[in-house]
Amino acid sequence: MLDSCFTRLLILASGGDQADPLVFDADLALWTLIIFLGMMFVLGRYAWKPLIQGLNNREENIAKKIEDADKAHDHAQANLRQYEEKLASVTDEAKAVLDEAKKDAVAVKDRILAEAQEEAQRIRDRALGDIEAAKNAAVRELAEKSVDSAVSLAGSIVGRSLDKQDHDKLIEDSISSFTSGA
Amino acid sequence: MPFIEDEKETKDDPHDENHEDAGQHSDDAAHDAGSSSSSDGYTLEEGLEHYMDPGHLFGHVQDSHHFEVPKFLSSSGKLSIPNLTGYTKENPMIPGINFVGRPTKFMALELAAAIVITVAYVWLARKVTHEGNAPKGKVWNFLESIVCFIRDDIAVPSIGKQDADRFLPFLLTLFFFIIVLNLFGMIPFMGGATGALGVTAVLAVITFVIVMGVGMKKMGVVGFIKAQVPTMDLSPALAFFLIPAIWAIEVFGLFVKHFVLAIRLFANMFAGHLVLAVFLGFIGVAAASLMIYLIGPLVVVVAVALSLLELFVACLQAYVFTFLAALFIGAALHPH
Repeated sequence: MLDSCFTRLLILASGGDQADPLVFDADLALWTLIIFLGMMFVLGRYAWKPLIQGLNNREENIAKKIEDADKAHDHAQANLRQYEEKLASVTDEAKAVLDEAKKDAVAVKDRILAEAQEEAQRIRDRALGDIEAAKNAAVRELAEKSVDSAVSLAGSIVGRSLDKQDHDKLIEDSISSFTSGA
Repeated sequence: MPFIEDEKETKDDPHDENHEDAGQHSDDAAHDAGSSSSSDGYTLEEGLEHYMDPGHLFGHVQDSHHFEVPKFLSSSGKLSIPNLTGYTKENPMIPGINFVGRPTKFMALELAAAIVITVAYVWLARKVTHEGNAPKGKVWNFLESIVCFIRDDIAVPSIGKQDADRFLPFLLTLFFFIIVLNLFGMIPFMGGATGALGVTAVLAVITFVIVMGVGMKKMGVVGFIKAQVPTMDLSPALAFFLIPAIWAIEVFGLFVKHFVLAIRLFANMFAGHLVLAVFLGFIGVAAASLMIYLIGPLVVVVAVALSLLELFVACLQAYVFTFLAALFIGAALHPH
């Protein structure tokens, strides 16, 4: 059936005078020309031109924004590096200040310690001097008392009172013997 | 009519007990209008005669003075376009040169296409101009992506970045005009205006005029004519014979390629619609017999498949026409 239909179609297409696929309709052609040129004019003016302008603007805008973003990124990166450097230098400075402070503290400590030791030494020396003086006084007193008792003892032994002259002589002798003995 | 006999042989057996079909067992009955008539009142033979008649088939594909509409809208199935000018084929506006002056279906479709495209893209242009940068919404993205496609994948590669923008209005108008007309052809009860040589020829002629104009503006009239011959290293004797010959071939080729531009689009659309018409016509033919129960569904399936193919072809041919037009312009701007 298909076959016969196509056969018929071909026969009639080749011979049929009312069926010409290549017919050129001048009305249609002229109308097409008018419509097409009209469209080119209207669309070109009110659609394509602003549209393409808009698209180009948008593209430029986007390109500019990307460029700006890149710039901002670079700037931020540079800032970050700068701040890191600054931070590092500040840390060093702080460390130096701390070291110096430590050194100062050690020096102050040494000085205070030395002064304290000196003071202590002085106090001890003075105490020692006092003790020596007190000892000497005590010894002297003891010697005088001993002399007096010795004199009185000797007087009683000798049976007579020794006069003033004898006293003094005896005292002198005793003291000298004490002192040389001491 | 041997083909009638063939057909009856194939369909006799399965429908033996059918009453309507019974009459067709005798040749006489088959030739009568009586026993097996379709809804239009055709016998099988008359159906074949009617539906497979090139005049009828071409009538569905070619231009006419009416739209074909469902019969509940118009008892004749035709919606006539009012004859605004009053001219007819018998009484043309300009006699002798095939110019009638009466509006047709394809003219109406072209006007409709022009309006659709203008409304869509003037709207889009306003959006792009006034609503700033980022496209929003499906329609906006859709319409804009096509424009970007034409610009970035057709115009710029063919013509070059610095010149592309100058020809974009032409290429965009061309593409949208063709694709919308092609797609109108896929809508039932409309028609394929690009299946008429009168339409495609004008588009090709406009392309040709632009190509010539561009070439002559760029190189001068003489320069453009001379530029048709590629520069070659030839001995003077050889050049004396070869250069005119090559020039003739190249100039001939220049005409042919634009002519083919028109024929390619026309033939693709015309043939596609004709094939669809033939297949759908089979339903009309088979309506006279019980073969309709086999052929009907088959034809519907085939017609759907062919329609999908046509949908693809409609887009492809619009692309091809625009792409070739861009290539020709590019070639005229940057010869060899």
